[in-house]
Amino acid sequence: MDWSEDVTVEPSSPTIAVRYPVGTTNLGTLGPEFNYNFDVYAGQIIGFLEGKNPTLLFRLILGLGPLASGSIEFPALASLRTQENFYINLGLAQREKGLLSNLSLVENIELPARYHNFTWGELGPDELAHKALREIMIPEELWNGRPDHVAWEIRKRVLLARGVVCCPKIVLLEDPTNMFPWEKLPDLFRWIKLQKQEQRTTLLCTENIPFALSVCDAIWNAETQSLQTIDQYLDIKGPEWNTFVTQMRKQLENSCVSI
Amino acid sequence: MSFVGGNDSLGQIVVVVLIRELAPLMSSLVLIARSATAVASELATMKVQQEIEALLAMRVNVKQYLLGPRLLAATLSIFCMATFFVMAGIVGAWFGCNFWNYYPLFQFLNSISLSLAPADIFFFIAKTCLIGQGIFMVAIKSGMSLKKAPFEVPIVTNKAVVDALFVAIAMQIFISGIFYLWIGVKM
Repeated sequence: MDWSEDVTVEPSSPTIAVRYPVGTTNLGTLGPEFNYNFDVYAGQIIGFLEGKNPTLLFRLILGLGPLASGSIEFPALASLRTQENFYINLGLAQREKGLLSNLSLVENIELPARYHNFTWGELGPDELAHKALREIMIPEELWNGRPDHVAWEIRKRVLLARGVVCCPKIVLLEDPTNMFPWEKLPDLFRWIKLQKQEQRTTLLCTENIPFALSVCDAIWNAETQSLQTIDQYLDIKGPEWNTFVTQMRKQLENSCVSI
Repeated sequence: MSFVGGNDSLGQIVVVVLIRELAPLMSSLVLIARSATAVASELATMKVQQEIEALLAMRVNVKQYLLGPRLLAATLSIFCMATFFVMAGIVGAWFGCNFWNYYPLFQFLNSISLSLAPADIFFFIAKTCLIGQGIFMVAIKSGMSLKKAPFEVPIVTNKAVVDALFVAIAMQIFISGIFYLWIGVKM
């Protein structure tokens, strides 16, 4: 699939770009409230921690505007329409709601691919949806069920799968550990590492700081507006955090099914 | 009617009362009661569940994906309902005619066809389709106007019914007025 590098707004608008070994792809411009360019590496897993600021960042990246009292507002719709490919390049896995209740799980996942007529090589929307369902390990007998008939954990998995069905360059995970039982966190860990293998940049927003520190490559510091490595972040927090996170990472890696 | 020798007027009465006025009105009432409430509550529930926002985040055109098919369905369904209403009304009228005296079916249908002008058919189609679209646009607007909370769902549904009723009757009067003005001008 060809990605357009056409930036249709003024050069001074902040941009989001993905760096690959062979070059950089400019995905487009961010919302008007954003103040800095955002360069990430392909396959990088970046965590956004601690409270409302990360969610605010996600909303701004998607052009959804600031989060106000738990609702989502859309002040940037005009600029959204001029950047259609930009928003296909971003996959969003929402926190807990957003599945269409009149569609089955597989139809929910197929929806963006089918609507945008997206194909990946020889894989059509059906095949892409089935691939996403297998990767997130949803049992096949549940594929034709409705969201209201399955557990919250399965719904969360479907939200994650839907975020990557169109093979986006960047996937935004909004609190992915929400609704995941603690014993199933290795599945989530494995799935996020799978995105890294597929050279997909993951922006992970969560309040589950130990999990984020175990899975991420870098942490976005909203105060200094810069990326920090995990080691730099843990140096600030203290040595006991370092031990804890190392043990948690080891436990997750040992528990997850091999990729 | 046979007592006063008015059998020949039956066709005209069927056309004026049933085809021009009663069929579109009754069909619109059925559409409001059955479908407009469902559409309003469904869209309101989708808003509460953040399904509309999910569609927007997936860059799915909500008007094309959700609203367009519903408007098309309203147009087709009210037209079909009104047509069935007319057919049932004609059959019922004929049975009523035959209650006291025998009135041949062919003669009855012939009197209807003589009274039915192309303008009647055109306005029947236009009236039913436009009223159907008007009803569903009101229902869609009400459903999408929900702000945040689930308790607002029955409120917007009730509002949809009342507004749709008002719109249906107003459009019925307006289109009938245009029709009779047009006939008057032609004469």
